[in-house]
Amino acid sequence: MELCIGASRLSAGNQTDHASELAIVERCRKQDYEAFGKLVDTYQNRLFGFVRRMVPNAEEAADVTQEVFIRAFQSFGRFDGRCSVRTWLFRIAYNLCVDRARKVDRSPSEVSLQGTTEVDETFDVPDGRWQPDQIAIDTELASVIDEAISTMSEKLRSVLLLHDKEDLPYEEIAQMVGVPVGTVKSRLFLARAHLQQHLRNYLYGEVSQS
Amino acid sequence: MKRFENVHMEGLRNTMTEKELDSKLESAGQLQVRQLLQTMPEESLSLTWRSSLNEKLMASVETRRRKRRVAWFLSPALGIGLASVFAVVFLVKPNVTPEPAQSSSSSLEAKLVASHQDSVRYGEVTGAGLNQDEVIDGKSVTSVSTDYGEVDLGSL
Repeated sequence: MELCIGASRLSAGNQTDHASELAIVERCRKQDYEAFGKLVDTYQNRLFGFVRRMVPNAEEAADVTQEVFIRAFQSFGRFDGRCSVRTWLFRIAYNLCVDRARKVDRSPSEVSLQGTTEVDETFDVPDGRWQPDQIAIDTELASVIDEAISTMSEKLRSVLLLHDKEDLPYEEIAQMVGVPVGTVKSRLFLARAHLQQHLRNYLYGEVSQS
Repeated sequence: MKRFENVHMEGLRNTMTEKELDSKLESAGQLQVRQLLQTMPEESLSLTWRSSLNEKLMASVETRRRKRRVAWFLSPALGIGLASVFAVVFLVKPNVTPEPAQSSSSSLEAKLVASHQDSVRYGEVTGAGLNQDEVIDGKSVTSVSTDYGEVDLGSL
């Protein structure tokens, strides 16, 4: 059976070759603690970023992320390699977040989507990587995006994060969430439209204030 | 929120074909949102978090090892124990001869018979009129009390 590891993502930044990734997975299957540690190093921040936006607070997100790795370690023997390790880890994380949300019965505040699907516009978002004042603006923009994501329902949020942030293909998301690919696309479209509306309110609201 | 979403989802399904939806998803505004999300800064986890995870992983490894060890130890021991219990219960039959049960009524009868035999014996020895206290070793009290001589009688 051929394993699909997701070579471009396994070693955030460093291009680890496919063979060594396969070796890591094989060692993890044999409950190799060190090899699993490498996987944790690779994915901990990405998983935390996803979980952080799916559960209400950072402390809980850290706990859930730990639980993801513990479950993965305990059930690595059952990992069949039909999907990538990345997809598998995100699936565990998604399931844990959904379970937790069901337990807490967290219902997000109601936000109207009226008018979000009609307008599709681009924004002039400057690249402020080397300017301190722009870094502050970017931080603010990031918090606006986070806020917009938090007001979405779990269905839209998960699809948006898994596709746009984590770069997972439609088919894998559909399998993970348990809906047809068309529904994934519809959800993604709505989620992006919702985010666009929030950004529009933020950017044009600021312009009109100044 | 859910109501609005459902309305929009239905609307999208009714008004757009999958191709139209694909082309909408590829529009500049939608792609810009994707780009924005990909450039979002990542939060990093602390070293305390990592060491706590390591501890939990080690604990889970230990627990698993212990369970495996206990299972390994218990499985043959449990089998042997159960087999020996079955052997004792079903195969080894105890050789016990039943004793006649003595009921409380038979012991009463025996006492009655013994008491009757005693009273008959006393009657034979002492004759009528004497009770049990007046008899010593099968002799009547009168025969015992004649155990004095003529001298004794003279001194009176």
